[in-house]
Amino acid sequence: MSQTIRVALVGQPNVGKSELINAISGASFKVGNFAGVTVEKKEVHVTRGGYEVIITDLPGIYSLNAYAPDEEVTKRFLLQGAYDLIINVIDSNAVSKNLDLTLQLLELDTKVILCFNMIDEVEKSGGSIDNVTLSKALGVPVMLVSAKETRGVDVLVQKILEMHAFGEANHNLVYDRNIEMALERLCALLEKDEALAPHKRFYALRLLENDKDIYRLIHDKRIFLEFYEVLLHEQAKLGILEAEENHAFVMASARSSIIKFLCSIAVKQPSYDALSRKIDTLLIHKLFGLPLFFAIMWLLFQVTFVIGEIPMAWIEEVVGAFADVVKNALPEGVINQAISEGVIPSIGAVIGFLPNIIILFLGINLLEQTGYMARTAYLLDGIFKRFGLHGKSFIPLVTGFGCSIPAYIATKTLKNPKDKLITMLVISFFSCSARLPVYVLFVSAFFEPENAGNLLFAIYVIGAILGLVAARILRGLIFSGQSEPFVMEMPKYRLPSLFALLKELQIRSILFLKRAGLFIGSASLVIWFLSTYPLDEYGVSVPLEQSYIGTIGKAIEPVFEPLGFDWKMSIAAITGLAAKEVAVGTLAALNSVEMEESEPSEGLIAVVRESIDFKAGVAFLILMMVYSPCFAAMGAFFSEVKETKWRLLYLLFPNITAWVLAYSVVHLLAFIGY
Amino acid sequence: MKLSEAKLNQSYTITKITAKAPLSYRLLSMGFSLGSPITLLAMTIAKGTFDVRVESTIVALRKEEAEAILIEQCA
Repeated sequence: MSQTIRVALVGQPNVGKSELINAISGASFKVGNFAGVTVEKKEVHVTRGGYEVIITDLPGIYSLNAYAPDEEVTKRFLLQGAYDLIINVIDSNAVSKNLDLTLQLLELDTKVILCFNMIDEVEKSGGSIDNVTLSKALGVPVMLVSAKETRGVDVLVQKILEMHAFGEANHNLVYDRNIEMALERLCALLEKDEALAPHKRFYALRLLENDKDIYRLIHDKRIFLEFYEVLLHEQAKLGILEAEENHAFVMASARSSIIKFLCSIAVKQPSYDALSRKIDTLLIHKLFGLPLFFAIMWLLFQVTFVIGEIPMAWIEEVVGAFADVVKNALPEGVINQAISEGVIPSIGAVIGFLPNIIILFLGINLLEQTGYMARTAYLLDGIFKRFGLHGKSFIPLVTGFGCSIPAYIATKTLKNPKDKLITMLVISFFSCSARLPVYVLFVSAFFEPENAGNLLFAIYVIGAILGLVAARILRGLIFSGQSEPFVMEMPKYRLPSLFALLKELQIRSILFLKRAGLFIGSASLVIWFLSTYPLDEYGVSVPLEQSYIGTIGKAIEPVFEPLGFDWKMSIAAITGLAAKEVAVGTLAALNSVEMEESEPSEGLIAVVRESIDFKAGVAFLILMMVYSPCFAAMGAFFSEVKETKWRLLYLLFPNITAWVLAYSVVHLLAFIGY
Repeated sequence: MKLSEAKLNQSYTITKITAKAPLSYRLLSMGFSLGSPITLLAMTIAKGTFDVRVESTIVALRKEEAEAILIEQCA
């Protein structure tokens, strides 16, 4: 049996921890170029030199004074988790800021390897880092690595094995004399408690900074009363109490002077990134910044529609041919019919939209990788604030354009629970890519192709505006109060990596096909069965309207009749609750006869154009834009939010709003003469 | 003077941070400490959000946070 080494990967946000773990293990964790891409801890296993190395990727943390919930995940793991050594990942472009966390980590009494990532960028801009000198000064190994170029990665893994076998949890950190004397006295007291003794210096340091998590740890110990008195005394001597509310300043400036010394002996780097500054003068320009953002988004939706449409006809042909092959290959009977007439056309109708979805995801991924995403948070913060949202909410909301599930998870970077809840409640207004098939279908059916891209853009913008209005209402009605501060790091602009884009393409395609297979496959089987049975006395299917599904459709029709839906659209509106693509699959299944008769290249689009009234079509679009997201997303929401009232609100609010909006628009359209 | 009153592209030094915990911790760990050089790079048209460079890090913050950071012009 091989031995295991547990490694914790720790570092400030956006230093490339996930990228490094991908480089070491060949995993494909999501990477981006802004703080807060990883918000939950994740593990990979690598086997090297007879060891099983388990590396835990932790969310970025600025300091052990944890601030946001994703940082608390990391802190809790560092204090209580099981690990043998820490790799502290550092952005070589911002050494002095990163070392603040490093100095805190070194006190944890664990073996630490410092890993300076992105060293290639520093060298390219003429800087250098002297790892030998740094290593001597700090007393721990210092590695120079570039995860992007997979440079130094093998040496790092070697170092892990070496440190595990021979290394010690030592460091050479010495603070100024007053602090060291205070630490000595505090440690002498902590020594008396067996559980605290092994990490006494770490605890003493944290308690000087009034770390509440450590405070909780010791406050029911027998030594507490005596200790607390000495602590207050020592803090007073260091001037910590006089520093107004800020216990942090004294210790922070003690660390800062050590860091200034370290940087002066070992780090040469240009003071800032001139290229990013130049790009920023345009992209976050006072006047042009916002219009440019909207132009970029508009372009993305144009490309999504125009280029996404090209392969659609090919996909339909392939699916049609495939259905014929299956029909001839399987023995005649119910199964053959169910598959070739039910499942394949439904899945085929949805797969045709895969190119649209992939383009949209790649576009969003590009924004994330270049670092533009963080800038948009800056640009939109003022607008968001007016609607009671946080600039940082923007990142989960834009993620929501891709898929709501990662968007819900991304809200973990929001510190204030109210902000988090409001953001989660409005995420579904920011249309996810699964709705794209419905939009493309209806837009293509009712509007000229020249306008389709604009309309698609308009649908997303209107959805976003509705979301902002909903946020404002929620903030006013139930969540009144202060919103959290907005302080966000703006990353350096970086060229996107082709590899990461290809990975995204692969992940999204597989995910989409799985969903298509699972949701649409099973839903279309059920729909096929319900629309084929019962049989009449001669063993032939009754007309569609008298089938089981016809009967169900007629029964629920009254709910949707005011919106002008027929029973087929009513069924699609209900099945769309499971997943939005299923609504398209349902329409395809229920109109399979009509589709056979239409021109093959037009397919479902033509059927929708022929059989659905314009007003009802618009109402259907609005319903799809606003009502509850898919079951999977609901599950993700429920696992994040436990209170019954918010769950109920989540279930009712979008659906009622959707119906009322659709109803109003139908009547408005009728009023102006459509 | 407050950071929110700074002129664009001028060099300043941080003299005091009046923010309360836990915001003060966050500011400290992003590099806002006493004596740090700071430059206002951009602000939105409504002067609600600021883009500053502190040490070598670029940070966006709101007016409320910028008011809690006191600065003085470099000689």
